[in-house]
Amino acid sequence: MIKTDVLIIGAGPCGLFAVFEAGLLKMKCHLIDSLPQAGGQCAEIYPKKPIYDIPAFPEILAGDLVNNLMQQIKPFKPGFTLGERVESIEKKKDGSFLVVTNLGTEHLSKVVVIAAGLGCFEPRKPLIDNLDFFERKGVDYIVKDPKKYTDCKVVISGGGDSALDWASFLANNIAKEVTLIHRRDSFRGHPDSVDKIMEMTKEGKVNLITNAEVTSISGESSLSQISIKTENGIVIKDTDFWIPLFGLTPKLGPIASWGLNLNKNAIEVYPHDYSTNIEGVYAIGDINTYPGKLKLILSGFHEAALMAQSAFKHVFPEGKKSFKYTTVLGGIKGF
Amino acid sequence: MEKISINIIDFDGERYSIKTDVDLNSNLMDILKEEGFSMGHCGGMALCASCHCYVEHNKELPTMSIEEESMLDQLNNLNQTESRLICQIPCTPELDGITIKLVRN
Repeated sequence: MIKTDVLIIGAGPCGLFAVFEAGLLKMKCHLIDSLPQAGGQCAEIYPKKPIYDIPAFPEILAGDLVNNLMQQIKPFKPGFTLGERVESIEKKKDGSFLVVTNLGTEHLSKVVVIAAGLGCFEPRKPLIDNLDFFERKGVDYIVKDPKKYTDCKVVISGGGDSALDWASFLANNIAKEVTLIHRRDSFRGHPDSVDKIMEMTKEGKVNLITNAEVTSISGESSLSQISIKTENGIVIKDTDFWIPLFGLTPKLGPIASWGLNLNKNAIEVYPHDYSTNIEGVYAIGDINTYPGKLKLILSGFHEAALMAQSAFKHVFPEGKKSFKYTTVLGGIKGF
Repeated sequence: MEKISINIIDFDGERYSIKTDVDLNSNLMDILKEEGFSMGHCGGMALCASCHCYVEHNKELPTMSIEEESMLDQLNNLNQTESRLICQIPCTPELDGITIKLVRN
């Protein structure tokens, strides 16, 4: 079981900055995110888009903002549970929270901070019969650990950057065989990624099947075969894994069942400290709502700071909090 | 300010019309958000497909960008002739009479 002072659900910019603000008050943090990497929307949806309203940065790429935040919180050594979605939050008799993910990972924390943005990113699933049965039994929607595919036959579907990048990555001395299936004959991923796949196809490292799509999957206890509809008819292919990569879409998901007061898919909070109707649970960033709410990263940073000041009383009930500027003690090592 | 009429077919198949101002700084996703539909998660950058709708119109609509085509390409419920990300369609006078059918994405 992972134990921490502050458990942050959502590792987007606000969740990451919350680690810094909690860290200044000597509260240890652990983050959970359904995506396999930290950064939330900034990393997943628009890492190469410039943002213009981060104070003191006239322009910064979303991906760079995430990298900077990761660097900024590094001294506080946060823990991460990535690629897992929080399913349940249970308040224990002593006031702490047991938080369990879809993969059964248990976390025990004194405070829970929901910084889940738009909710959790869920894969767009293809419309295939029996898909649910084969999930995690050969069908994966994200690549969490590439080593899992070592010496296996892998089929990837999709035409975006993630499909192209994972196909080339797994075809390089990891998987035994990689097949990439795309509905069209042209790819709209990054030109470098497209060139790389075309080169690897020529070299025989990747089997590329275009104008085609997977229409059915089968197997006994796990996936063993897929049917592909191509221009020349149905092709049956043996495979160990099928990874459909059709992008991710944000869904509120299980948050709706945690007993929090919701208003139009956002969590209602008290604006003096962003606490929710459940004592010890806070919500910051785009997931919360209060009169005058502005969905901006900079607003989320402010909310993280006020949340941390309030959360202190739950983590150190007897502790005396002293507010200090980071400039006073010669850097964050002094905190 | 000039007004245009937009027909909306909601998730239940209910059809109704709204009037809205012509505003080049606004797009159809903004209008439907004001109507209470949850969309526009990425803020209108053609990056999330939450505003994917089927659009019927007898006039030419703005050409799709590579980003929009690329995003539509990933959807299961793509309709080759009517699918659009409506965040990419600004509120111009030419949209008068357009019909937007909501799709569950």
